[in-house]
Amino acid sequence: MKQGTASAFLSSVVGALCFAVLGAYGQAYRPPIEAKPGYAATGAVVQQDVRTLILNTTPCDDQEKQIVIFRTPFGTKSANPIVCPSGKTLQQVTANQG
Amino acid sequence: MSTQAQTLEEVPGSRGAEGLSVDERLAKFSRDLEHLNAESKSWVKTWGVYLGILGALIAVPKSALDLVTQLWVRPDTSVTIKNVKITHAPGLSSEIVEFPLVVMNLGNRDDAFLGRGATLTAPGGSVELSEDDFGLYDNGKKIETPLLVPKDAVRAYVVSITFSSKTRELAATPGQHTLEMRFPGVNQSYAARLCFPLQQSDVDVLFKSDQLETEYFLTQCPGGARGGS
Repeated sequence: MKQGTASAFLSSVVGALCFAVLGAYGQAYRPPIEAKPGYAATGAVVQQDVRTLILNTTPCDDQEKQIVIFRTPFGTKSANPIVCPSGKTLQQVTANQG
Repeated sequence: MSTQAQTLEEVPGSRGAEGLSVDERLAKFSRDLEHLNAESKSWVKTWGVYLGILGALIAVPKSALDLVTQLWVRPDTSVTIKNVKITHAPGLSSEIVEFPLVVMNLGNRDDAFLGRGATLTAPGGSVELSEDDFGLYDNGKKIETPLLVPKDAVRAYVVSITFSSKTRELAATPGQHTLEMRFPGVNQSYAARLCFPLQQSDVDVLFKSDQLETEYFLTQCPGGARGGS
């Protein structure tokens, strides 16, 4: 009985690891969008510094991600968090290219 | 006065300055006119023949070409890559390689890409990219294969490549890089090559920088960008 439980546990751990690894390898990026003046988008922040802001506008899609690049001048404001089908909640911001 | 009278007498008279009567001159004029008329008709005939020959010279090859076109229906497809853009951002799991792919079918029959494949070759070796590693986009919309390539059409797609850890390691090697895109068609396979050199400084910027970096490269393949089939 104990052996069965251990093997089931091991199988689920290995399965989860494989899923995570495959998920990481399966992650592809669509051609990035360079925000033009007046362009606005909402998404999860990938990177932000004084000169640039990179948003992932498809944060719940593990297979394909859309990146939007904002360059100074741009404005940001917080947006509603997004709840992914997996149950994960992600903070989002809305950015406007000046 | 006497001179005027003489002239008036001579004009209606039967003899002119050349010794011809008016009737004779009229007859000569009539003959000349007929001669000119005949010459003119001959000129029209001659040029008509020339124009006819010219028309035939154009029409015959065109008809032959139309006949060949009708009998020999085939696609004339090619794929071309001219330049590449590489984007690096420290927050992303991979650099993003993107380039326009021009697909042209100048033949008289539709063609199709039945699949797609790509190989990245760098000084460290060569790696086959999986279908998940790269996508084909048309105005931001992902395109899947099989893909119809209509006759007499030119289309520009955008290809976006994401590196896996193994591909990224190979891509981050300084030296000449070659990316070959392959599209198996109905009767033959089409290929386009993208060649660009990466210096150590390019590698440092594009794979190790802590800032957003973008670099453009023009393809520099020996023997052109079109690969074999």
